[in-house]
Amino acid sequence: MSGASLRVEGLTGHFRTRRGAVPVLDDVSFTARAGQVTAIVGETGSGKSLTALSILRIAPPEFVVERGRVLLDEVDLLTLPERRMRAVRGARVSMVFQDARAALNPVLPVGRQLADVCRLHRPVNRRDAEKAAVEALAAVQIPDAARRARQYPHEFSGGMAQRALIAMALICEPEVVVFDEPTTGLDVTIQAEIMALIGTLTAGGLTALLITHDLGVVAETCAAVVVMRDGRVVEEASTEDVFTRPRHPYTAELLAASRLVEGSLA
Amino acid sequence: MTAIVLSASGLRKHYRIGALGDHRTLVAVDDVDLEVRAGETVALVGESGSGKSTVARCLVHLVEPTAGEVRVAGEPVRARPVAALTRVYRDVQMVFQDPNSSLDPRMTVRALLAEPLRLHLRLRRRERDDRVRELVEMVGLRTDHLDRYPHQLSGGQRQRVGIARALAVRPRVVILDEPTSSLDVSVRGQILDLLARVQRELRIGYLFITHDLAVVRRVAHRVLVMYLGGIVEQGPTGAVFARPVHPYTRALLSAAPVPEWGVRRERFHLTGEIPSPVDLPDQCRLVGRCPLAVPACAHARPPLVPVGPGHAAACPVETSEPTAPPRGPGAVRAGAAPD
Repeated sequence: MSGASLRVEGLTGHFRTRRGAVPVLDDVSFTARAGQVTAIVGETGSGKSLTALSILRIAPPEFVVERGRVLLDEVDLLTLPERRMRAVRGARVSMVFQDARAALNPVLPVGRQLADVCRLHRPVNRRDAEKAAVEALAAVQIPDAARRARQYPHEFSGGMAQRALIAMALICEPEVVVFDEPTTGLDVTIQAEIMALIGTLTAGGLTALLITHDLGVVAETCAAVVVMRDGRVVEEASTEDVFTRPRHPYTAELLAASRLVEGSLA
Repeated sequence: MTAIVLSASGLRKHYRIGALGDHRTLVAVDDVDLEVRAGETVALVGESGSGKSTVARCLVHLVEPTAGEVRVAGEPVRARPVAALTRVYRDVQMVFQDPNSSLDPRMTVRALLAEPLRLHLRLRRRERDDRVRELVEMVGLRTDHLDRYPHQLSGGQRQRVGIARALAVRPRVVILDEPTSSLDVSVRGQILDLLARVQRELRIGYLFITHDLAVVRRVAHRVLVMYLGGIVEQGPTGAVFARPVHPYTRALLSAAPVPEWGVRRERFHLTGEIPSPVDLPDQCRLVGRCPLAVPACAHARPPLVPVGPGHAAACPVETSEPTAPPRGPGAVRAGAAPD
């Protein structure tokens, strides 16, 4: 797995509504470097998820990109024809969604769903694809992967389903994976394991973009942080700088709120 | 010593599941004792499936407990007649996790707040109006919010309405079931702030159900740690966080990430995941996952044993080896003298 850095430049866009254009992203720029986890943090409505969806061009149809570029190896993903974008999506850049059990198809065995992704991008037959699926499940430390591959999503716990979704994102060996709140709703012990897994993957060269609102997770696993608020990037810095020398007052506020600092409660 | 406003002893909730002739028992709550005093915040923590929400629901008979006694201000709670339970709801109120689904979308804030006043206190319209204004002010909303519907409010404002509604009848104790887990961190702080202020003013007892350990540390006076239906450790918040004794508590505390740079936590690992609560044998619930397990752990369910002032843990390994070597940060010597 060889990573490539991903650069978002000047991404600006609005939602089309009956009452006219509502601006939602304003000049969003940042870089996610290969072999690192880069976090995008922000609260509800900050535009962090929309930014992630825009990278893969799967934002809702009402969202209109006015300008900006998403560069993967100097290629602007926003200008690719849809047919070529489909070859990128899932194969070079993939995504892991928040609610894993909702993201999986409830009526198909988990292994089959992974195999389908594999066959979509690679000239392999069903048997080889299913074999790759089992290997992918084993690679994310799912015990007894061959048996698990035959099971349905409802037979998976939340943590196991999230691992399966990560396996699905990785099965075509992408360079970049966007994780959208991958541990929200999971228990802390399971969360710690999922984050450790993401850490192992980036150590192997993967470029990871982690959308989160949990600064605890950021402090432990991310190398760089992009802080968003109201559709703008207010700060982009190394994790150490963000936690020890936040430059923007909003970053400092967010840190204080996360730490539940003495004095913030009367 | 302050009065106990809410207590439970031997609280159990079993569900019979499975087809006819193949009955199995799911133990959701297994012999839980707890008490909450006036002006005290007791946190009930545990992961999903630990039974913490079922405990909350059993306390107010939203779910009928299989066994055990609940007392409110010393009086046993009875589910029959209904009027007796209605009386209990004047003293015990609940705030739920998701204000989107716990507030009727067709009622204005005014109507939502007036309803408990009408039902429980039988206040007249004029008195209701005054009290509603008082409540709105108490929870930091404005009077122009009164004519809005829940969907016209932000998540934090909705939770303020949920809190105001619980406070409307001047309860002695409020059970808060994950009241901040659907909120952004900045709003979370404001809501905790509000709860702390109200508690100081009204001397209310809180039973705070949460999985957010940062919140527990900040607001709780005492903490109860639940695992698979039972309490495995309890004690003053400071003592439990500084010297967690039970292996489950240690695993839980060491897994929670802290928003600080360069903090290296020493993880205490359990293997596997929380098992199914169906047909559990009489042994320590952690036996299959615990790195410290000894054969005795599988023989009987360990009771809570005192390990410090007000601090107790249900682990025979950690509580019966006074000469056990230190095990790194977070480790505790059983029976060690308290600070």
